[in-house]
Amino acid sequence: MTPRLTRLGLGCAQLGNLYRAIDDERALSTVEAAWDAGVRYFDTAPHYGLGLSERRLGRALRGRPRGGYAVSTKVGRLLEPVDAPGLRDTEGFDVPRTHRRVWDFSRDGVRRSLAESLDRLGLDHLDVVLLHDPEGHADEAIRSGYPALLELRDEGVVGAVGAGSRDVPFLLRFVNECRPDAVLIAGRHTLLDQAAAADLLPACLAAGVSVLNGAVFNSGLLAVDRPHRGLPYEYGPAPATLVERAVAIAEACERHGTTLPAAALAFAGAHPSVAAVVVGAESPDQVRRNADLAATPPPEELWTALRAEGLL
Amino acid sequence: MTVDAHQHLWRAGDGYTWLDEPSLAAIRRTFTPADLRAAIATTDVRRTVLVEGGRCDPAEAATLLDHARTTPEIAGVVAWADPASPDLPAVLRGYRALPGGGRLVGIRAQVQGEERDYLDRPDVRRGLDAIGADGLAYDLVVRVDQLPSAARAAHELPHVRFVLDHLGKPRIRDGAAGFAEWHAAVAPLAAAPNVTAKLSGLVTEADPAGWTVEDLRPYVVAAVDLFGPGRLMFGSDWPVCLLAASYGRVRSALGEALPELSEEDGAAILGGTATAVYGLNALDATDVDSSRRHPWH
Repeated sequence: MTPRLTRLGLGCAQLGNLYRAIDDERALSTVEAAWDAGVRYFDTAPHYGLGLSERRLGRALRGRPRGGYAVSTKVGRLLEPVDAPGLRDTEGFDVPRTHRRVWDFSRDGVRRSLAESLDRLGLDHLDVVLLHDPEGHADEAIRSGYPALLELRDEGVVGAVGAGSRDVPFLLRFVNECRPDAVLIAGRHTLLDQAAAADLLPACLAAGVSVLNGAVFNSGLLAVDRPHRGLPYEYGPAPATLVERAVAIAEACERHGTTLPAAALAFAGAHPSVAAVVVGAESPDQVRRNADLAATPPPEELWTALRAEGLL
Repeated sequence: MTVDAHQHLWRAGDGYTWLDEPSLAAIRRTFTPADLRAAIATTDVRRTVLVEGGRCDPAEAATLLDHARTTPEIAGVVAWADPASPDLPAVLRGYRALPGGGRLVGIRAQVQGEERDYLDRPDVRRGLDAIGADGLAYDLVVRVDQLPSAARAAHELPHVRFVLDHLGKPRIRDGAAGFAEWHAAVAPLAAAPNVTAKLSGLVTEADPAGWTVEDLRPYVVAAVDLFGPGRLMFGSDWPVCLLAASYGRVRSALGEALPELSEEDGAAILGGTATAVYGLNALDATDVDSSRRHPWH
């Protein structure tokens, strides 16, 4: 069956304690708020908090009708248990270092990774499964990882298959060589970074590949009405020139009676290749705000003004 | 991206007995996915929908779905099933469980070989209802005299997506009388918003040996008027069309027969409508809450 998503999806890296720890109750209520706002698509990965995001998402979805929502997860990093008492994860998640990540895009690695994800999520099938950041292992991912996903799709364990990455040249090669069901593009079709617009999005449109657009706030800089120095951009502090551009765009938004995050969301979903926009949140309030913003698009004149000012 | 919403593949001797008719000798041979790829490669068509080929046997679905699984250009399969069969739900479940079962997008039966009011039968209606409830489209291949019963079915089953094949098979060879008869019969069907139609199969309803674009034009223009571009889709009916023209000629003839359209309307006929009606994209996304206005699309 064709997986049915909602155009707004909840990105679940924050459920894995991205940047900072949140407790189980807040994680649960964040998913609940998304559900109440009508969101029925959730994107997670083993990478997010060494399995914590998948476990929490699984718990939050338990008891809800399985046909009523869609989940995507990813393969490519196997989680190997390690004995490291007192040590914390070093890849951005505030969790104890219970596992190390091992790159593996082999057939067996993909199958094992998916089996473990199903286990953590408490599900018997996934709606979408993506090769996660495969650009460093491009040939193996295309030669063995992707065929392994096709096999799982044939077996009915997976509804749709593709890859998720920030790497536009890899995704373009992947779309042209494999014609997957979907690609998740992270932070490369946003108000501040349009690297995907020239070739990748047209290629997806032409090949009928559905685009899932993620990290549309570029990790934080576009998430606030008034951007300033010190906000994160792509998991690091934002460079000054980008902050200036974000400030200029935010001012134009204000002049047109809207806000920077509202414009960021609308822009991310506007290209006809985009099936859904995936937005992370770490609290029920953030979820509700994002859903409200998505429902209140900026006026058309904003885009004309941004183009005229060279901001788009 | 251009989509051909109507193609067939068959193996000679595999139960396609209708091909035994002497006038069909030219297409009485096996057509493989490689033949299909070679045909569309001469045009701008990049994706196609395979439609059951009159074998009327559930075993055909396995072959067609497997072709879809191994041929990236085949984006969807409209398989045969008997809507009146009490086993229909199990048959549909079985199709989906086959290799390539995810590419099942619709069902068609040979209604054109049935009585005039076949689509009014309660057992048939129950089947159509189940097909729609399963999220599948239902392709109508009907004679002109069956169009009124098709219209009743479409109006009374508003949740079922009906796709009218070959515009309802107008008798183009009969000239003005053929047009008038068809136009009167198809208009009530076109009035149902849950019906789309294929601009397909027209060259073989005209004189296969001597047709011109002028023979097709009145029907194409009337279809645009009755259905609108958002409810029309291009289909070739290849390889049946080979009785009258090459694949490339069928594709180009549509372009010549269509009235002037906006870019958006042209794109709907050449792919957008088929993609939406058959759900050809691998992911189907809907608004988070249909009662709210949404910023994209």
